[in-house]
Amino acid sequence: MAKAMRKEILGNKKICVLLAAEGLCLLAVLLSFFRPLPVYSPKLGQSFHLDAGTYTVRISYTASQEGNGFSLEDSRFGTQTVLFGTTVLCTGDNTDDCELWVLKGTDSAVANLINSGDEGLALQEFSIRGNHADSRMLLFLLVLTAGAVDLLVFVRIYDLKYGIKTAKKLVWAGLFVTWLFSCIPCFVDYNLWGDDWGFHLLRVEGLISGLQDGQFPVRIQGNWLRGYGYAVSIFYSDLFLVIPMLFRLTGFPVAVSWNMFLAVINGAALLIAYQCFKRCFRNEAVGGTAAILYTLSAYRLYNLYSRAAMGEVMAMAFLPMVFYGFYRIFTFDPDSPEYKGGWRVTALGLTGVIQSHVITCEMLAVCIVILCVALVRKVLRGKVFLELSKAAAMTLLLNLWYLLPFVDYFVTGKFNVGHAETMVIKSVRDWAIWPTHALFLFYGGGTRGNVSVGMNWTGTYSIGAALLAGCLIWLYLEFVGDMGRSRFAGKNLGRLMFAFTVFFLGIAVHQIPWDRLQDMGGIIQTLVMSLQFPYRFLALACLTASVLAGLVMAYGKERNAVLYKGLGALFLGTALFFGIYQLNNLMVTHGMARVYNKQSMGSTYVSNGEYLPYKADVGLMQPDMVAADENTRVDFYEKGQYTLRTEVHVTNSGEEGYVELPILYYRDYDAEVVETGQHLAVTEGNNSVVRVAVPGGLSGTIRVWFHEPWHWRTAELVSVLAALYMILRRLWGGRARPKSFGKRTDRFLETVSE
Amino acid sequence: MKCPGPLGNDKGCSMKSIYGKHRIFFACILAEALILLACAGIALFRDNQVYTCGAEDFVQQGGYLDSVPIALPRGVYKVSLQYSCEGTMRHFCSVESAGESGRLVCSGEHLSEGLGYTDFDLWVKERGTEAVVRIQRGEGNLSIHRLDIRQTSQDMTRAICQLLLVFVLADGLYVLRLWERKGGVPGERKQVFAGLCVIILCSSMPLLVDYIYPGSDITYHLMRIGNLKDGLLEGQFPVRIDPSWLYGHGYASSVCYGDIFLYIPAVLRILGFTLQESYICFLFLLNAATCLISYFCFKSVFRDWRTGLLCSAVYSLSIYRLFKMYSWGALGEAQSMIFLPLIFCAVYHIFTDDVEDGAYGRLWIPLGTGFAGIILCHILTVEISVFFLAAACLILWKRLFRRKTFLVFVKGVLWASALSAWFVIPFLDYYFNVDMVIHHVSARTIQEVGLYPANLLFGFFLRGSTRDFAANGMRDMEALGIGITLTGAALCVLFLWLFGYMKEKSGLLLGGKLAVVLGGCAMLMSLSCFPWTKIQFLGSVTEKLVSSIQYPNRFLMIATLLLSFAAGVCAAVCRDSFGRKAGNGAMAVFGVLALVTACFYQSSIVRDGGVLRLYDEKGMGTGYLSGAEYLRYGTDQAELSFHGPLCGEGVEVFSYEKEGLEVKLDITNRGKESYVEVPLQHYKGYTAVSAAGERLKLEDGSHFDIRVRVPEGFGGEVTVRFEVPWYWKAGDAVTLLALAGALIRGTAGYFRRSHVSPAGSI
Repeated sequence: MAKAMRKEILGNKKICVLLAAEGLCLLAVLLSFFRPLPVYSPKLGQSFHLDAGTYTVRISYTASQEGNGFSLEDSRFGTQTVLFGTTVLCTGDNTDDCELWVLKGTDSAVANLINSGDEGLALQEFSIRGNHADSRMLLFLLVLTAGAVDLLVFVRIYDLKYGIKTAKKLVWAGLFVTWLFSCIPCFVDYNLWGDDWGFHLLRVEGLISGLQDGQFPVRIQGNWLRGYGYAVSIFYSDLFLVIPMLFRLTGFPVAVSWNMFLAVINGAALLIAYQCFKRCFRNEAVGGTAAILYTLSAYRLYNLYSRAAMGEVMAMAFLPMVFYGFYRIFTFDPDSPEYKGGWRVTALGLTGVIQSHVITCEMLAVCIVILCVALVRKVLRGKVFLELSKAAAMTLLLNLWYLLPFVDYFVTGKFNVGHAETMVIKSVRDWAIWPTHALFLFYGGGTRGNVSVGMNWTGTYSIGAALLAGCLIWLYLEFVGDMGRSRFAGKNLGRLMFAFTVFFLGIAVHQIPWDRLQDMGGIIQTLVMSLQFPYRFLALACLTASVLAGLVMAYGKERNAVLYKGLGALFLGTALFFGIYQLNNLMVTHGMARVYNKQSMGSTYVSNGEYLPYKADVGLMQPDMVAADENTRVDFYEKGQYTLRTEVHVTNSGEEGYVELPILYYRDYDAEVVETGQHLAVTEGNNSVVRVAVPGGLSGTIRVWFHEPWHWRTAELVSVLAALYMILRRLWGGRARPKSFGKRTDRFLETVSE
Repeated sequence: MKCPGPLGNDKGCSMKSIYGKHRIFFACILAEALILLACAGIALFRDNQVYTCGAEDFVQQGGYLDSVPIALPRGVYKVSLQYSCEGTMRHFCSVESAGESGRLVCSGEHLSEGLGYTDFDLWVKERGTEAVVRIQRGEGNLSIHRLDIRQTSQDMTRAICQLLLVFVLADGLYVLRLWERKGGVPGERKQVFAGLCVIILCSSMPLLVDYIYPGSDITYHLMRIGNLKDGLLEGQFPVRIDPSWLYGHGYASSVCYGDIFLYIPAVLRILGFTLQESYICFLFLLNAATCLISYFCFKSVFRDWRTGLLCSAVYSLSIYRLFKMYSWGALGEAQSMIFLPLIFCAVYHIFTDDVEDGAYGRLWIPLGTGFAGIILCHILTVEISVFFLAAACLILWKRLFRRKTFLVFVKGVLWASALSAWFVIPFLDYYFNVDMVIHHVSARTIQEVGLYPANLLFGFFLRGSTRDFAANGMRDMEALGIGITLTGAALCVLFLWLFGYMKEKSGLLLGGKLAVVLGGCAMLMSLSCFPWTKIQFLGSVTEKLVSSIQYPNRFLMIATLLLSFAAGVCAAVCRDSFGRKAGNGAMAVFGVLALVTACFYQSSIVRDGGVLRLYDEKGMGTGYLSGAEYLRYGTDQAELSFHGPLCGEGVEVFSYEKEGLEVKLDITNRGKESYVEVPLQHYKGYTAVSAAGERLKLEDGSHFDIRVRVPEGFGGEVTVRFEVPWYWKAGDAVTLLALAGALIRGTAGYFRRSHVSPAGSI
């Protein structure tokens, strides 16, 4: 078939012309990498010309106070032409290379220094030099567009030659429409002001900064807290933030990269859910509907755009995979050849969740424990237990590179996380929802998370109308006894999903004594405090309710075609209607921000400050604060605002002393004397900054950097090997997918009924 | 004589037998006629009262000067106040009820030093209302000379209109009932009638209140209506220079911006309706006309009344149209959207019908009428429509150059030209010969006011209050988009096309594909990422064309039209490919979506749109010009005010009288050649004639007032007035001839058809 398709494609003149055109465009873009780059040296406050393109603006300045800025804008066309913003100027002598995007040639570009009354503010250098970011972006967009066009052409040819089933076409059309409408807030030139949006933007920039510092994987991000660094990568995995980081490295502005990333997350959630659910239900239409319902679930959209809870929302993309993994382990016949490999899906799903959001893992662990207890007889079967063990072991191995440093720091260090007195959120119960939330349908643009004061301007803490409809229909079927009387194979799974949904909705409510649990202290307090918001359980409720909605459709299909189509139309119509309503309201009510480069976004938003050393005061972390004991003199000091690399030249004229550097202390910093290679002790100084011991009589340059311990490196190696194994098994080890997929429905979920 | 209609049966019957069967009905009609005649008699012969007060009847009450209460019977009055005051628009005169509020309504008027008198309308709703004329005092002296409250017959003309409407509706319902009893109205017609009523009602939801809503351009259009009324009352027909605008200086809005349909609200104003009532009536008529014309056009295109009804609903309830009507107050665009379906229908048939078909040769009529309609409503829509028509012609060039097709287009152009000649000739005359602001806006760029792609995916629009995306993003955004129904239709057609359900080479499918492609282009052109600025500065022509568009969102008008058609195509393809149920399902989805999103938006208009109560155009002042496009270039609006004649050295004015656009002066020039300036904006067409018939030379005076050159030693009366050039009159004649020709041909055709029996025998 592949041969025939190749022949069909290459024999078609129109396609050849299309491919040739694409090739020519590609060539033109590649040639643009060799064009001469312009250089401008404009004057402050005067209009100057800029051609369309991307540039690097270099500013060297001295500032003695905070609050100054440097702006570059188009005085006539604003952000229609020039994307730059206002660079935050830090105190001291600094040189910054800032990205600049010029969308159209302009004669009205103006640069200004914004002085907040700082007499010491002076600009030494201001130049604008072209770069190749525009060519890179063009190349990216060309490849993307050409890929999309070629795919469409391929589908069309395939359809004409072999025919694609109508149902399949409808499902893919539905998936595309869902993706398109779930991405409405991405099709603007700014970002919606989500709760944690600034935090995650800093994480993305932190990855770039960490890589530039030579860290791989990045552990401490140097761009945070005016260059003090923050161990966010150790505690909060940022594997998937590599995607926006790549967009940024390609050359896209921050706002555009972020919107593209949100669109990717929507696509990933949709496709993963579809692939998993269609395998569960052995029906593409039912799987597609469940995936659409899950993607458009009210809480997921709220998490994505309003809370900007990226960790949670990325974890939600993998929850269907976890479900499918356990579904395979528990429902497939352990003696059948297709049973093998279920553990791999589970491990991958769990890996996705772990690499996205630790708190979701916590909730998922509770869920898995309940599941295993409920299905204890199955768990104790040899092959099932083996699969579960393999899944657990592989999950551990795949994530060891992240889990080991995390546990290492969590156990050996003392950080704000888990300590109520240092957290912004003191009482978890304040963030538990009201039962009314579950039944509330027309959520507007509300953002209030603390619902202890009522539901005024409340956030969207609901699974949404479509999923609620699924639950209510199931309840009705149980209530009237239709389900009890029917021989529907998914009956027990449905009951389990319904019970889970009710449990997740129930546990998130205000009436649960979260305060008492919190007051119990110990690990319970740590777990409850780290959960922060009980409404996070809604993420799991969205998953179980989506499965339940799929089961309702499967039940309808078994009863009659009209009921099946009616339920499908009801679910899809409701999901799209309320999804679009929610997003539209959100867009016309939420604040917005346009951030283009890292210099414009500040560096101090650490959200709750969970990963700060215990009781470290962010307010005291000022740039260029170098302190030393009375025996030590600092002769020279150099450190950028976006890097951990620090060099300090000291002279000690007495007994052993120390020098304190503007770097936040985490355990694995290393310091050496550049001239001699002598390693110096690094300890925690005042306000948890890095303190380097300076031996008596030392006169030399000290270099400080973050150094991973050997056991972290070993864990990374183990994870790489585990990942390689998974890839090789996937490529040469046979397919985990059942061969008879799509044809067999007789044994559908039967094993759950046992 | 035979009557094949509802009052008779199919075989026909004599008038006598009809009269015998429906005696009561005819008696009712007679009674109705008598009532109307009685009202007309009262209006003509009633001795209208005048209530007069002097300065002594006014009492100072805090910051107000109040007249003594005057007991007024129910009716419509003209309040005239003669005064002298300092400054312009510092004092404000209105009338209030001495007792319960709401018994009378009026908008009042500001007092101006250069005017010395004011007269505005007053509606007394309940008998025995005690009215107090109240003047809010501002800075400077004010003295009242005389107050007259004159009763008018407009209450009766109002009553005649209202009664006529009630009688027509009642009689119509009775006739329908008879028709139903006789043979039964076909179910299809009932459904169509009910459907159209629902669409009109749903699109008119915000009109069912006793106020209107503030909008960006509403003041401008209300002033156009008020000025048309004033122009008609002073004897201009058609009105060319709006006389009351710019403190009585006059403004050439009517020459440059077609307002033929605004004569409807203007006439309603003359008949005694308040400004807002006239406006509401007009908007309702716009909705009805849009709904009906689009229904008949789409029905003709699809040859199916259900699909016609669906497309009419989708089009009439489209967000863009409702937004332009209720939020933007863009009456020009809203009116032109009535005619777009007509053009679409004509073009569709021209390109898809068999050229040998008998009706093919008549397609120039809807084409030309449609274009004439948009020319007379909104010139910019012509620009945009012609662009898309040209694109369609380019794509279908093989069909375009068929002899008959080309001939139809040529005839259509001629017909449109003939119908609009009365407007186009003066417009072109001014456009090329008068230096107006509109010639100097080509540097105005439009790309920055383009939309985001997100706008096109929006479904639930709110009233909003901003269009400034640069400052606010989409926060509190106005309804800038086409709505989810049309986006959904476009996506559905795209999917059906991609998945091979539109392979058949029928006119409908070709039209559907073309509609989606061109509609997609229109959507793309409305975006801020479309390179408008680059295109604009390609050359002087593009500079003018692009800047005249002002807002790229105007392209959504075309997208709305084409994608409404796409919704119908989608339903038709679903029906043909997946069965009747699927087709009906698609229609239900589009219909419900259109209804729900339109109702949601209109609910927001009603809830958040604010309230504007304007009874008389005088309440708005006379200075608002929106973009002031038709003002003489260089005029400083701030300099304009009410004033008398300004004399040059040696000239003395003995008497001065200004009535609308006509100024009579008795002047003497005791020195060398000098001038006198009159408060009229100097547009082409004004003349100054002395009593002896001598034509005096005119030139631009201060702030482009008319400056009359007064020869040395001149003495006597001079009349300055607006005189329509002969070629404008020739344009009027061409249009009249065209209309007369159409009427004669139409009547002859009707009689020819009505004399052919169903069997074909005469």
